[in-house]
Amino acid sequence: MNFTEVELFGVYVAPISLMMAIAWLLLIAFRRVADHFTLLRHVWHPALFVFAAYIIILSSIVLVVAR
Amino acid sequence: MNGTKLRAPEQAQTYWPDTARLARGLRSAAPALLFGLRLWGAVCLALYISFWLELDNAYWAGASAAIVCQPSLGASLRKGWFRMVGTAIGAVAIVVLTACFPQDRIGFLLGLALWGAACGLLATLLRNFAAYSAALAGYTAAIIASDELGAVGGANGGAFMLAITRASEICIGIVCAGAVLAGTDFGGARRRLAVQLATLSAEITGRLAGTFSLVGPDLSEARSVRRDLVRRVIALDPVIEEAIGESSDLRSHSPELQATMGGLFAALSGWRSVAVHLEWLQSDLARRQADIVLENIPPKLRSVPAQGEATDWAVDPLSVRQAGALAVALTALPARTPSLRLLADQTAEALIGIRRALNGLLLLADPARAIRSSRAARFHVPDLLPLLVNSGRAFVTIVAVELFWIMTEWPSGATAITFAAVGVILFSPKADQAYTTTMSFMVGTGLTAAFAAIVKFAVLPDVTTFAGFSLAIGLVLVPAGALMAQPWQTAMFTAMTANFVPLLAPANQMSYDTQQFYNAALAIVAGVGAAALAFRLLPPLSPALRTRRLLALTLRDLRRLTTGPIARTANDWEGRVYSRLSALPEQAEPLQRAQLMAALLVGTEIIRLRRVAHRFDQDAELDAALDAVAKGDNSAATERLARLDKRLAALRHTGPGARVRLRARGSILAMSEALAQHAAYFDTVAAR
Repeated sequence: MNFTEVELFGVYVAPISLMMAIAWLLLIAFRRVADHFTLLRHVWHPALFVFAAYIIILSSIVLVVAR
Repeated sequence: MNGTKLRAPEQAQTYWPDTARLARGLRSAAPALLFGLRLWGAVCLALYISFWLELDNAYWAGASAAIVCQPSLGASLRKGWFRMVGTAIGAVAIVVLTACFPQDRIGFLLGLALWGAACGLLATLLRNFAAYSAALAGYTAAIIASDELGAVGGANGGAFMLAITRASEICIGIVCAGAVLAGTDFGGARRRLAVQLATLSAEITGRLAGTFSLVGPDLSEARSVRRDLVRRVIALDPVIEEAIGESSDLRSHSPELQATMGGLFAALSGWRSVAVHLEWLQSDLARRQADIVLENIPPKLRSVPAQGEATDWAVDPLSVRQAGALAVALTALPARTPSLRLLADQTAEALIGIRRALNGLLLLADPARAIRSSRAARFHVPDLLPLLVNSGRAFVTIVAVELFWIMTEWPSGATAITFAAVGVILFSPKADQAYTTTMSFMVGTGLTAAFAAIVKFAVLPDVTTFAGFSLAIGLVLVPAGALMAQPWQTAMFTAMTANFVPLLAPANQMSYDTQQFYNAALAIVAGVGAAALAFRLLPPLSPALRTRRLLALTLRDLRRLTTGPIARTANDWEGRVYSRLSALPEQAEPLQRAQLMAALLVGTEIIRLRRVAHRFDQDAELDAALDAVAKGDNSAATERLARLDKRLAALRHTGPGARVRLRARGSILAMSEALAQHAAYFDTVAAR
């Protein structure tokens, strides 16, 4: 397990904030792909779907780091 | 000779900036810059007084002053007043909540979420600054709760003193902002409202008179103008609020000013009926009847005035009002046919509406000569669904952030709850703009955190006096305030002015703890982010759906008018439709606005006809026609109305009630034409 605080310009920030930022960047890439193949048009609630995808990505990052 | 030499004189030429253009640019930027300076002055004064009084969290006074400041004086003063009311209600609510749930974390947190939901509902239900007051009552409770909550929820019992302190700090901020703004800005909302009212009244009157000169296809071209005027009348609402905020003498006349909008809607409805009827008539008959009515309209009201003349109406509304009063004599115009009766009556109703609008104009010009309105304004809810969606979203968001806080044991979770409540309640009334506004607000908050960090850790450690501190905060507040006064990304710059002081958290003994600052900034951004996410996942109703619902609800109410007890006046019905017209989204189609105006007319005529039919024992015939209206069977309704018209015509032409019967026949004609023109709308079955 490696959940130590990260130093950012002299300030120690919680590791989850960095993981959230990484998850967000991955989500942007995922959305680009989904938009390219018009996948979101087949989803009932696109915003909810994207949010769920974000939570899945973030949880996966946390699990990988925790291993 | 070579090319280099040839080009040399051109390169040596110096281009000086165009000084006239520069001066013009500076002149146009001056009001915004002045506003930035005023905002900064108000924040400095509020902080100075709070430091002098040695209050606990002096920065709340500075934050309040920044939040209250608005680029227009009327808006600021009105906002300040409503902010005080909202703060007091929120403070009382949290004290009561704490007393109801001592040592009960779940009860307290659920109560807080329910209070937030109730305030979200009221913020959508009410309009303008009253809506702001309701929103403030919600998040004032959250602000005080965040101070009194322990590490993972549960009140600590100091609610009463915290409520008193926080309310005092907020009130100091409001008073300081009011004093600085009122002392340096003399306002222009009253004059702006007078000019807008005069322009609209003059334009509607002139175009109504102009309708009598048009025959044939030209009449249908005026439709788009009329529908645009409906939109412009709706836009008067916030200007009225600002004018009331600016002038204390107008506050007691608030119903009269609100009635001006009703007057203008009535004028537009009358004009619509006249135009539709002239369209239906054969051109030679239309010409003859139009000339008769036009002769009875005073010359002063007959033409669309130029901009300068319209402003004259604002200066001397009494003379125009007297001319309007003369035109009301149209109701007594001897008319032999229902068609002429309709034209005369609808023109008179339009001019009575204009006269009501001019009462408001008279009030603005000279309150001593103001004419008291006899109509009591009744409050109507246009549509319940958007209110329920907004309050449900506020409840779910606050509960979700509370759960997140409890589960993660995040030390700054209480601050996140506060800012989630602020975002989700404050931006709910923005409807389809709520998400983008909240996102802009979040970006603004993030930028503010960076600026606050620079000022706090790089500038303030070397500052020892209040003057130096004021100059340091001015580096951010003056430009942010100036940028807030322009139309681009207003929400982002509003976030910068509103959140800068709480992020900086100035105190008599400053603390330069980077970890604490980071936690506070993260909590604020996360709270606003949670609100933005809530708007994404539980989106407000789309403008198209809201418009469809408003039309369907109006049709349902219209059909209810056909049964039940006969209303004594049409005031209640008119108020209901005016509230729906005001609630129509900006994106509504002009045709949809016209359909609401047609429903207004049909409803008013139904109320009138039911009274008249009862008087002349024609209830059965009218009921048959109204039954067809209720069933959405337009052709049957028109046929039965024609039968009623024949029966009324068969009664004696002289004697008591002859004029009333003729007027009723005019009503039947107006109603039939409206039903035929908007058959697709009135035939809708789903709204029954």
